[in-house]
Amino acid sequence: MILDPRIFLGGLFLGSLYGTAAVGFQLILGATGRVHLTFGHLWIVWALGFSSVTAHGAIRLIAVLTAMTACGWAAGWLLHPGILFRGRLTEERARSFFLVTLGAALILEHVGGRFWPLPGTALAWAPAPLFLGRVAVPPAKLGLLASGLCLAVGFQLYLRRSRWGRAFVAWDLGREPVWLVGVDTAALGRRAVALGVAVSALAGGFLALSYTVSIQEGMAMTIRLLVLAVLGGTLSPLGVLGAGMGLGVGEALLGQVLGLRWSPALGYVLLLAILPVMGRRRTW
Amino acid sequence: MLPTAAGAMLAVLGPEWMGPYGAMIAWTLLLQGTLALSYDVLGGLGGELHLGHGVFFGIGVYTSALLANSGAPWWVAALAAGPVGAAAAMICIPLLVPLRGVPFAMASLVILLFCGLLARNLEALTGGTAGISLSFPSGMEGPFRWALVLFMAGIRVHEGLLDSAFGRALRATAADREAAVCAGVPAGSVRGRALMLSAVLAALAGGIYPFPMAYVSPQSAFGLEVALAPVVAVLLGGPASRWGPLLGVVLYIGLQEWLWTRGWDASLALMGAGLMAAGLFFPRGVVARIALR
Repeated sequence: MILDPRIFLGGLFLGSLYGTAAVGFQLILGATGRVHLTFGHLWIVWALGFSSVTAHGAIRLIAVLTAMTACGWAAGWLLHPGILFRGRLTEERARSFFLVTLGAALILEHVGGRFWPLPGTALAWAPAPLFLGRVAVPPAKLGLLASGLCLAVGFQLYLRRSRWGRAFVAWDLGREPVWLVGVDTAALGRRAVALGVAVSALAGGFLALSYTVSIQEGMAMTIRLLVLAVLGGTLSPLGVLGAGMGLGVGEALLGQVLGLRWSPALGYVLLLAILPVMGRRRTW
Repeated sequence: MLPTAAGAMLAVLGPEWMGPYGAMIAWTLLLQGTLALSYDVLGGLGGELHLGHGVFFGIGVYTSALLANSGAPWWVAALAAGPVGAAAAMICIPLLVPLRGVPFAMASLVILLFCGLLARNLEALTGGTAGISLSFPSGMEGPFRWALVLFMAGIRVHEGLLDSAFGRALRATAADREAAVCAGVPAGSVRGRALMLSAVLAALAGGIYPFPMAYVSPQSAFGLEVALAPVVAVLLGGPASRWGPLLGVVLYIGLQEWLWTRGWDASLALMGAGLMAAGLFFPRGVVARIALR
C-alpha cells in the first residue's frame, strides 16, 4: 500500500490540532491527576461557538480567538471551584471529579445539540493553496500547525522555567513533597484548569478554521486527548503535540484502508492497550 | 415475599389492564430495574464505576434482533442473548478485571464507544445507523411476562449476593483488594465471575428489548442515554444496598417521564445532572444519605 502524500499531510494537520488541544488536557491531567471528561465537549463547543460568531462576519478572527481564550481562562477559573481540588488525591475524590465532568459532558452534549443541531465550521476563510511539488498545502492549516508548535514550545518553557510551571511538574512527579513544602495545591489545580480550558478555547478556534465538527464527537475527542496525554507524557507539551501528529497520521492511514468512519477506532484501541500499563502506575 | 406476590399478580394480569402507556412505563421499569440490579453486582458490590455495562445490553439487543429476523421464535432469540453476553464478558474480563478505579471506568467506557462504532459501521450485519426493523414483531404480552420473570430473578440474585460468601468476597475486593487477597480471596476470579454474572443478566434484558419496539439501532442499543441510565440510577439510589438500585430506577424514570410529558426531551441532560449530583452530593447514593441522617 502506498501512502498518498495528501492523506499523510491531512492526517498531520488534523493531528496537530489534536496535539494543540491535548496540551491543555495534559496540563489538567498532570497538574491535578484527574481525567477531565468534559474537555472534548468543551473543545467542540468553543469550535462551534467560534464558527457561529464568525459566520456573522465583520469580526476579526484574531480578536475573537483572543476573546475566546480569555473567556476560557475565566470559565476554567470560576467553574471549577476549589472543592474539586482541595485535599489529597484520594480515589473517592478522583471518582467524584470523574462523575462530575462526565455529567457536565452529557449536559454540554444536550445543550450543544440544541444550539448547533448541524455540524459547524468557519471554513469560509480559505486562502489560495501553496504547492509542495504536486501536493497542494492549505496555508491556513500550515499556519495552524505552526501556531500549535509555538503554543507547545511556549508551554514547554513555562513548565520548565516558571515557578508555577515547576510546581505543576513537581505535583505530577510526587504529591507528598509538594504538600510538605506548603504549595497551595487548590490554587495549583485552579490555575491548571484555567490554563487548560483557555487552551481548549484557542484550539477550538483553530479546529473551526480548518474542519467541520459536531458536538456528538466530544467523547471521542476526549478519548483521543487522553491517549495523547499518556503517549506524549504528561506535562510534556512537545511530546503531546508529536503524539497528536502521529495519531492523526495513523487515523488517516486507517481511513485510507477501512474508510474515514473507522478513524476513532485507533484511539479506542490505543487507550485499551495503554490503560492496563498506566492503571498500575497512576492514581487518577 | 411482597415483591414475589406483586410479581405473580402482574404476571397473571399481564400488560393489557394497564393500558398502552402504563404497560410501556411498566416495561421500561422492569427492564431498567433488571439492568440496575445487574449493574449493582460489579458497580455496587464490586465498587467499580462500570460505565460500559450497557455493552452487554446492546449485544443482547442485536443478538435477539438478528436471530428473530432469521426466523427464530422470539423467546429463543431472547434466551440466546444470555450465552452471547457471557461470551462477550469472557472477552472483556482480561481487559477490565486487572484495572481499578478511574482506569476501569475509562476502559469500560471505551469498550462501549467501540461497540457503538462497530454497530454503526458493520452495515452488512447490523444495518448501520439505519438499524434493523424486526420482520415479525411479537407484541407486548409475551416479552412483558418474560421481562417480569427476569426482573424477579434479578431481585433474587441480587439479594442472594448481598448475604452470600461470594458477595462478601466481592465487597472485600472493593474495600481493599490487597487486603482481600491476603485474607485468601481470589480477587481476579471473584471480580471476573461478578462481571460474567452482571453481563448475562444485562444481555438477557437486552434480548427482550427489541420485540415490543420492533426496531433496534446503534443509538438504542449502545447509546450513552441507554448505557448510562442504570449507572445513574444506582448512583442516585445507593450502590450495594437492597433497595437502592430499584429506588434509583423509580426516581430516574419517574423524573424522565415527568419531563417528557411536559415536552422536555432532556434525558441526556437529566443523566448528566444525575451524575454530577451523585459525584458532588451523594457519593454513596440517596439511600445512604437518608440512612446516615
